[in-house]
Order: sequence, then structure tokens, then C-alpha cells
Amino acid sequence: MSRTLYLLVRLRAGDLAAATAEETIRRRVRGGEKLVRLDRSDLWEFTYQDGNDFRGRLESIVRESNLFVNPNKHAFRYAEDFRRGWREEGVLVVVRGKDDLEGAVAEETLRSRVRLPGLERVRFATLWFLRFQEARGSEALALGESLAVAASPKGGLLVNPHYQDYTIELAETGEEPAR
Amino acid sequence: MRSKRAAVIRFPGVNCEEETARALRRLGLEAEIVRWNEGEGLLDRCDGFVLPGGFSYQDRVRAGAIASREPILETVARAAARGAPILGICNGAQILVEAGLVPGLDGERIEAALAPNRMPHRTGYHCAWVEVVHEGKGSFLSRALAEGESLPLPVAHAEGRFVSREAGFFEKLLERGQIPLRYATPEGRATDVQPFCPNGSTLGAAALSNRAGNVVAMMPHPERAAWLHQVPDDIRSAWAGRKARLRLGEGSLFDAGPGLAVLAAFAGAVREGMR
Repeated sequence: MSRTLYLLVRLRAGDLAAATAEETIRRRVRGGEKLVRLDRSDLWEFTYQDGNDFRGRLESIVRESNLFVNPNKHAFRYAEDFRRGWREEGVLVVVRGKDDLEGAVAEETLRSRVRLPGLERVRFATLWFLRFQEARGSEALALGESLAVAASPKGGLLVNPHYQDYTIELAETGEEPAR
Repeated sequence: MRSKRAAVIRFPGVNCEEETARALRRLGLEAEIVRWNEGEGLLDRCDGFVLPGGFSYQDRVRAGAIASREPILETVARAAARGAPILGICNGAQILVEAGLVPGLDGERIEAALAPNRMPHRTGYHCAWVEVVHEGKGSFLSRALAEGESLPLPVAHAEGRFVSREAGFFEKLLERGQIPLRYATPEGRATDVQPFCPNGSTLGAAALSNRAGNVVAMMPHPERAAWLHQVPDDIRSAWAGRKARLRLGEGSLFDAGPGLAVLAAFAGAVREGMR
């Protein structure tokens, strides 16, 4: 049976790209004053065949190589559903290149150089977490989309839909359920 | 009457403004390097604008995305609407595309992107000398480049692949003459095939212009090819032969290089206006 595991990686120190994007949205994008905080993570998505202790082997690769995480500068966590396990309410914008070159390169490395059994697919995305002062639910989703998607010069900032795909979802607070 | 002047806009992180301004001065323009937050009065004192290459805001989020939101781009847009010549080089091209100034069919929308390079077996930054061919008579480049004229220029970028999500969009631009430069074989034939097209750009586009032809966004660096001493010895081009003849006592290292024609076309449009 196919299963999916996510690896979320973020900088331990201040993320200057996220800080610049947050400031630019707040000052330059219509509706940006409603943004309270913007965080950024790398989101790696591994699809695999159950069995062969895939997760244990992957965790070992992540721990013992610098392929996905540099422990000197990154913090990371695993999730079976990246929407869960957030400390605050907010909106998640997942941005992925239409040809996902990073995911393809990582998948090729895991297949041909590390020979990770059970691996079906690797995808990479940038995951933006947007927290708003007041907006919740569908209002937050709509606001997140307008701040994220660069449809016009005065529009959003985080996605250029000419070469990137995106999804926008609500973050769920609390612990991720145990496996 | 004051002499004609071009503003070379320095965003945080650009790194080609000095050589761009130097080349424009050699071409007889007054070239003023202007900081991105000093836009006041620019429209009154400058007749053309260059957005030079580099890494504005460290390419955060996407190359050119942050700079494209700076208020000085509104000044540049107003100048473009008045017909002033605007040239974006590499990161400057990325900024113009993110600001919706090229191709500019619908001023309210961002109509294209400069996506990450698509290269065999790897991703990321790529620099090389490539051949480009001038096509389309619509832009100010026609002032100094003949239709079908090809020239070698250097590229140096990680995000240089012109794309649009709208099917047939680049074919439409080609038909309208809004792709003034395309990557080419050493013989000067336009192509989107590697390695001549270094990044997988749609239809081998190396530059786009707006409809009026006064705004040009190009990925190659003409200012890094403005003088003969910048031309490598080993490229397949008559320009390398010209440089080799220096050993025979013919010419000077400071003779014009292939990129000077591009900057001369811009300078001519600034001096005499678009026509």
C-alpha cells in the first residue's frame, strides 16, 4: 500500500527571505497589513510502499547525510499530514515548481545512489505559513490566496503561477496524531 | 537644453551598475547611478532607464520579485508609458517581467515568468557565452542591430527560462515581433535546443519587449561584452578572430565588443527618442 511521509525543514536562525517577504507583503501588497507573521519551510514529500521499515531508513539517511538537513542550521520534523501539528492557527501555502526539479533530483539520488527500497516518488515544495490578526476559516483562505498569488503587479508575492503550482489550506493546531 | 541622461537603478544586491554606466558614458550619454529609494524627480531629469544585472534582494522569494514591488517601478512604468526607453539586463529583466512591464499586453497582469533554468542532469546557476540572433523590428534594438544579425553574449543566471502558462502565448509574441533576441546556433539560426539555448527558454527567447518596443528585458549581459578585451579567445565567432588579430597589431583591446551595439541602440533611443 502506498503511504506518504512529509519532512518539514526550517532554518534555526532568523529566515531573512521570510522576513523580507513578510515586510514586502505588509507594505506593498493590497491587504498585506492584515498579515501578522510569515514563516517558511522546505516541504519534502515521500511516497513509498509500506514495509521495509521505509521511515526508519529515511530517518537514518536524513540524520547521517546533508541531503535534506544540515543539523548545524536546520530544525526539522516528520509528519504524516503536514497540515497538522501547528502551534497557531494560520494558512499554509504550498508552492511547487511545475516541473519540480528539486524533487526529481532528490528522487534520483535516493534511487540510484542511496538505493532506498520502497521509494515511489519524492516531491519538493516551499511551505509558507501565514498568520493573520483576525481572519479565520474561508476568509483566511481567501486572504492567503490574494497575498500569495502574483497575478498582477499589485497582487500577491509568493507564487508566480506561470511556472509554479500552489495549494492553500488551513493549518490545524495541536499535536499530530501518533502513527 | 540639458543633455540626454539615463538612470541606472541600483537596487540592494545588483552588481553590474558601474560597468553599465561606464559603457553608456562612452556612448555619449550622461549616466546617473540612482538608488532604488531615490526616485523623486527622476522623470524630470532622466530620459531612459536601465535596470542592471545582479541579485536584487538576494533573489529572495523569486529573482526580481521583491524589487518589482518597490515604488521606483511605478516611476519606471510611468516613464515607459511616456515612451522612454527602458532596458532590463538579467536581474533587471526579471524585475521588469515581475512588474508586468514586459511583455505588457495587459498592464494589469503579470503575463510571464523567468523560471529556473532547465538543463540536462542538473539545476541551478549557469554561465556561458551564447549566440543570440536579432529578430523582430519592433524594439529599439533595431536601431543598431540588423534583422537576422547574430552576436555572442555572456549569460549568467539561475532563473532565465521565459515561460507562460498560457498556451501559444510566446508564438503570439513572436508573431508581433516582441521577442527581439533569441538564442541561436553559432551560424545564427534561432533555436531552443541545448546547449545553444542554455536554459530551456520558450522558443529560445533571450529577450522580450513590450508592444511599443521601448521596454526590453534581456537575459544576456551586453555590458560584459562591450569591449574586445571581454571576448573570450575560444568562442566560435568572428569576434574571437578579431581579438586574435590584436597580436598582429590590428586594433585595440578597448575596441567595441559585440555587446556595445545593444547599449548603443538604447543610447540612440534615449538621445533621439523612439521612432
